[in-house]
Amino acid sequence: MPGPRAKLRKYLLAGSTALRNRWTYPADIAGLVFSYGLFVFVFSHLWMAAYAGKATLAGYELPQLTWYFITSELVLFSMGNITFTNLSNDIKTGQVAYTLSRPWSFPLTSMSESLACALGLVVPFALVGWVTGTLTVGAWVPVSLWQVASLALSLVLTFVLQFLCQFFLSLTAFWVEENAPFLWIHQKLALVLGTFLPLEFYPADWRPWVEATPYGWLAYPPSRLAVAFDPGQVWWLLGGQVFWIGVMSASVAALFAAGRRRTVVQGG
Amino acid sequence: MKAYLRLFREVFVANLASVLEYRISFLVQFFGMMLNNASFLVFWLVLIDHTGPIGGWGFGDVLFLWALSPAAFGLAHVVCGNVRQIGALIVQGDLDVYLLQPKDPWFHSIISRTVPSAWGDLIYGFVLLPFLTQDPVKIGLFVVFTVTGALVFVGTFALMQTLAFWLGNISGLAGALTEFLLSFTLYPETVFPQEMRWVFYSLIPAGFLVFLPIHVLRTLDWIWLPVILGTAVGLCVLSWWLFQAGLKRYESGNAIGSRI
Repeated sequence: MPGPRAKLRKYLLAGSTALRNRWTYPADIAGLVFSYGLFVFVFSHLWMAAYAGKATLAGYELPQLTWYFITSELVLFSMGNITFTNLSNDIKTGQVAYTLSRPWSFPLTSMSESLACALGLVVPFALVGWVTGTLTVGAWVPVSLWQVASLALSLVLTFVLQFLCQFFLSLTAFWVEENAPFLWIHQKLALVLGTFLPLEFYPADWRPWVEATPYGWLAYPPSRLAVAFDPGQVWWLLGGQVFWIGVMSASVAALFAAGRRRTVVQGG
Repeated sequence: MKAYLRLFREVFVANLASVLEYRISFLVQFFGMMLNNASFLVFWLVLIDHTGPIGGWGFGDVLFLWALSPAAFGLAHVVCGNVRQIGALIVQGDLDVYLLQPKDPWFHSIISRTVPSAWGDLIYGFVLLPFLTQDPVKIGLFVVFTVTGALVFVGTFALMQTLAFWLGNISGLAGALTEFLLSFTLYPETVFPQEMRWVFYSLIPAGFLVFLPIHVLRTLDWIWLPVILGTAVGLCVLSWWLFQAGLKRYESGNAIGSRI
């Protein structure tokens, strides 16, 4: 029976292997970074046009909103859809039957692989975002070490939550052959609720509804911490993310248990 | 010409029948795409509520953009759903099945598939239309611009894909250019710097796809109509011509295939 350290090493190895595989095709990464740069370019111009004659919108100044978007898109782009795409394909093709028989936890291995890939991609995206943001609205300067630490922690929590959402959606492949539309809708909800615009833009009576879903806790907490850091808000934002990670973990476990029973039916 | 119309009708019916064979999958993709598009309107509604018109574009204008662009993109992929696969067919040497048949391989290859989610895009544009205008002239123009927009999409995508005859695997380049074209057709032209707008009327023809058509829809400035029509048809002719030139460089993959 392997000890906790051996188990950890196993998952770290799975993560580092996935990261190496991800970087096997640098042109693919370059295409993603290009798309990210394009979005940042388009939106930085959209914000400039939106701020014509206005000092603030919903309490945000132009540089804040631009850096908010750079951070929020950084989160979603780094994670990509790899978790959903790979797992859905594995379920549809029956490949998942082989993976399940290996001596490791399937969800934990998937998480290790997804997080490693996301953390490995943050660097090129952040570089492109930083250059574009600095050229358009001026450099982002952290206000304290505590801001940097809470931002880094919030980014990791967002990656975990995003992974759980995608894992949950991909499990629908056990029941529905064409499950891509679930991902489209998830992506768009994530974009509209907290990525394109901070939650402060939405009417006050919408806010509780958005916060009652995981979408209010994906891109918003790290982006808010990056551009409008308030030490009094840190634990609320991080706590909300941890709460939703708990809810989604339980949901994934329940759906995975139900789906796993259908693996036999799929034929493996 | 009659023979091509007959081929088009037969292929279209066969494509439709094949996607309807998986009804649930088709419906999920159809409604999924409509919801996908609708979610962006929430963003614009909230933003314009705070800012007022952006670069002279109010919510109604943005709604036109978000009706016309998906409708044109949808029509292009409903009718010519294979257009973004041409590059792969060329690189993998899989064009043989079209070359051995009596009809033009460019035309036959691009119409040989329909994309289920594109039906959602197409219908979405027309669902929005009654909220935008009840003027029969403008409704007629919207239909015309959906067709010209679809031709611009098809011509541009086919042009990019045909470059595979010379450049080999162009999936990365084609993906980037597609991203460019789609991104610039979904945001008001006036948010972009004046000095870069020439790009929308040359390298990335978003101007002929949505910006000029919306100008005509707003002002009924008919002088631009032939320009839009000419560009749309011209792009398709250009991509067809390039495809014919590229065929001389084509190398078969010797794969055995059939098309019934």
